[in-house]
Order: sequence, then structure tokens, then C-alpha cells
Amino acid sequence: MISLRVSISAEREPWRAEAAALSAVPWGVMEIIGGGDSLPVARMVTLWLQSFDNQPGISLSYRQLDYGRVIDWLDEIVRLDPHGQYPLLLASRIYGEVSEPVKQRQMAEWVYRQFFGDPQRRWRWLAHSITVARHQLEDFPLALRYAKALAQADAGLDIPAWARQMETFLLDDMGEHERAAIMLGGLIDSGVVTDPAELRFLLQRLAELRREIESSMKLEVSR
Amino acid sequence: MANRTLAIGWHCLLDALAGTLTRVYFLMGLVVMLVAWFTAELAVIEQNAFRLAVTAALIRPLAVMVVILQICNGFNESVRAGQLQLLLSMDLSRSQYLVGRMISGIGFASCVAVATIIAVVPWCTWDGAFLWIAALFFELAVMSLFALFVAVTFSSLGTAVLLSLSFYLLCRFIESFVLIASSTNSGMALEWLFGLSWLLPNFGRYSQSSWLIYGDGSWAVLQPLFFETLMVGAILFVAAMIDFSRREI
Repeated sequence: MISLRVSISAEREPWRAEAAALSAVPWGVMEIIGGGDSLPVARMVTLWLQSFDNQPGISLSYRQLDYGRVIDWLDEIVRLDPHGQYPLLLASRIYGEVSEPVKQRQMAEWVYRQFFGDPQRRWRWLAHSITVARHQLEDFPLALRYAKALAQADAGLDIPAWARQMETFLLDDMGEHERAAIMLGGLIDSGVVTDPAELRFLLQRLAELRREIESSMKLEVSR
Repeated sequence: MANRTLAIGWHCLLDALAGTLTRVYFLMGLVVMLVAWFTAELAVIEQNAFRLAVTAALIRPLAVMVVILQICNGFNESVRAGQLQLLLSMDLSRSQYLVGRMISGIGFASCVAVATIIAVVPWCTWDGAFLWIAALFFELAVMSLFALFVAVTFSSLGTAVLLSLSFYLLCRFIESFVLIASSTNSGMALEWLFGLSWLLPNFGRYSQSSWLIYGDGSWAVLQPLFFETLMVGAILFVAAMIDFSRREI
């Protein structure tokens, strides 16, 4: 019997580690499993998604994942647990850090869309997406679009002034000193910035911007 | 009369607390806490949220299971050992005995709920923990009464436990079943499930883990749960009383 067992096993195909593809989201199933309390299910799915790159005998790179599916899963997690920050962390700091610009853009765009759902809690992830768009993707218009959303968020929300100022500094970086000065002036006037030291810094920056505008105007006139 | 009822309730409660199931509950609670700790270690941020979510999700059915087993086994054991027959042969009515059993069942449910606070309170606010524990107590109280009802009705322990578990699962997932039936447009089944949902307590709304994690619960949420528990509990107790008065012992 043992020799028969060994001979059958010897004929068997050798085991190979094969990466499984990310499955489609079974819409609605999670709520049923949760039985009225879907938050723990959302948390478990989050960890499963986070560790999907580690499969038996194989380790995948995040960029090998189907990002369309990843976004579907992240959407489902946010739907089940709207207060949770973890899916936004996954999108901006894990899946959004791969060295593939298209996928980075997908994740940044997802974070941007999610920001409007709960700006109070999600502003920090959008701020990170702005830095990704500015420094990694080097896409100023994209970074500016995101920064505009932060700057235009309801003034009553507890979003720090530095995050709201990102638009101004981006415009400054883009050489659009006039627009930057207008934005900065508007920000100071809005009363969002209350810290005296920060206000002093912003006023100083506004004065510098005005000097830069004047000098560039003088340069143009002299030409 | 009240003294006898309270004495039965007190002794049954002491018996339940001294039983093996209480120790098993503490041991399993410890295992749940370890699993929750391990899960939290996998998370990069919001570790407490993960810990609480896992603890709440696992300890809730565990508490229900322990209460069901204790109530069914306690009643079954008293019948099997002849203790019930002996008590009823004395100057004690069946209703007095059953009220005593009900008091001990609800007392045991409250002890289990209070003990559960140890597993959650280090990682959440007291308010959130109290709300969650109160809702857990309501859930356990209903289950203890249902377990008492089926233990009285069926002489087999296995049947009583199985029916109690089925009732729990039905109450826990009734909302999901109704939603599935309505999304698939299954006419007769939907009407049947809809009718059932009016009778059964919806355990899906009890003990929400978001109360622990985000502290978004309020005492106002408990009011309808309390009245639901009271109504369902009263129905179950009357049903148990009727069955117990008819049963040949």
C-alpha cells in the first residue's frame, strides 16, 4: 500500500506557487456576513486586502495587482465603515507609492473622490496625494486641482492652515506669483489662520510675493 | 412566596456561576483577546479599532453560546437529577419555580455581560463600553428567556440548544434575509420573512461595534432596544409558563 501511495504521489504534478488574482467584490455579501454589524467584516477585509501581496510561496508586488479591483474593494470597505481611515491609508501610502504613474494617479484620484465624503477626517490623505502629484508625478495641474479642493473646504472644518495653503505654494512653485498672492491674501482675509506666528509668516510670504511680482513687472518694462 | 422565588433564583445563579461554563467563558474570552491583539499587530494605524472590532465580533456570539448552554443544561440537569420533582413536591408552585429560573437566567446574562467589559474597556471610552454592554445584556436576556422556553418545552438538551442557536441566528440575520428576499423579489418568501421580522427582535441593531470604536452611540439608541427586549421577553416568559404548566414531570 505504501509503495502504491508513493508511486501515485510520484506521478503527481509538482506543486507550484501561483499567484491568485484579486477577486471581484461580492457586493452585498459583506453586510449579510456581518449580520447587522458590518464594521468588523470591513476591518477583516481591510487586513485581507493589505496582505494580498503575500500568498503561499509567493510574494507579489503591489503594482502587479489589478487596481480597478483594488479600488472596488476600497469602495466597499469605505461603504461598510465610513469613519475608518485605513482604506485611505492603503490607497495613499501603500498602493499609491508604487513606481507606476498610472496606478499612482488612480489611487490619488480615488483619495480625491473620497475626500468630499468626509473632508474633516480625510484631508490628510488628500494632502499626501498633493505631494505625490507634485513631487513624484510632477503633475502640477493635478496637484493644484487637489490643493484647490483642500483650500475650498468649508472654513468651519478643522483642517489646518498649512493644508489650505498648499494651493498658494503650488502656484508659487509654478511661477504664478500673482495668483499665489491673490490666494494667499484671500486665505489671510478669510480668518482661517488664527495663530499669530503663522499669520506673520504668511504676511511675510505675501510681501515677498508682491516683491517678486514687482520685480518681474519691472523686468518686462525694461525689455 | 417572593422569598422562595428569590431563593431559587439565587441558588440557580450561584450554581451557574460556579459551573464549568463560566470558567470556559473566561478562558475563551482570553483567547479572543489574544486573537484581537494579534490582529491589531497586523494593522499599521487604528490598532485599537481593529482590536475592538475583532473582540466585539467574537465575544458576542461566545457570550450568547455560553448563556444558551448554561440555561438549557441547568434546567435539563435539574429534571434529570430529580431536583425539580423534589422542589415541586414541596409547597412551591410551578410558576414560582419558573420565575426563579428566569431571575437566575437574567442574572447570569448580566454577569456575563458585565464580565465582558474587561475585554473592551481598556481600548475604548467608558460611555461606549457601557452602551455596548447594556445592549449585549438585552440580547443575552432575550436569549436566556428563549433558552428557558425551549428547555421547558423539549426534554432533549440537544434539541433545546439547537433551537436556541437557530433562533439567535435568525434574529441576528433577519434584516439581511429580508433584504435578500426583497432584492430577489421572491414574493411569498418575502411576505413570510417580513411578517417574521415584526415578531423577532432584530439583534443586528444591538451591540454595534461602532459604539466602541467611534463612540457614536447614544443612550437614546438603547430605549427602543430596551422596550423590544421587554416585549419579546414577556412573550417568551408567558410561553414558557404555559408550556411548563402543561408538561408532565
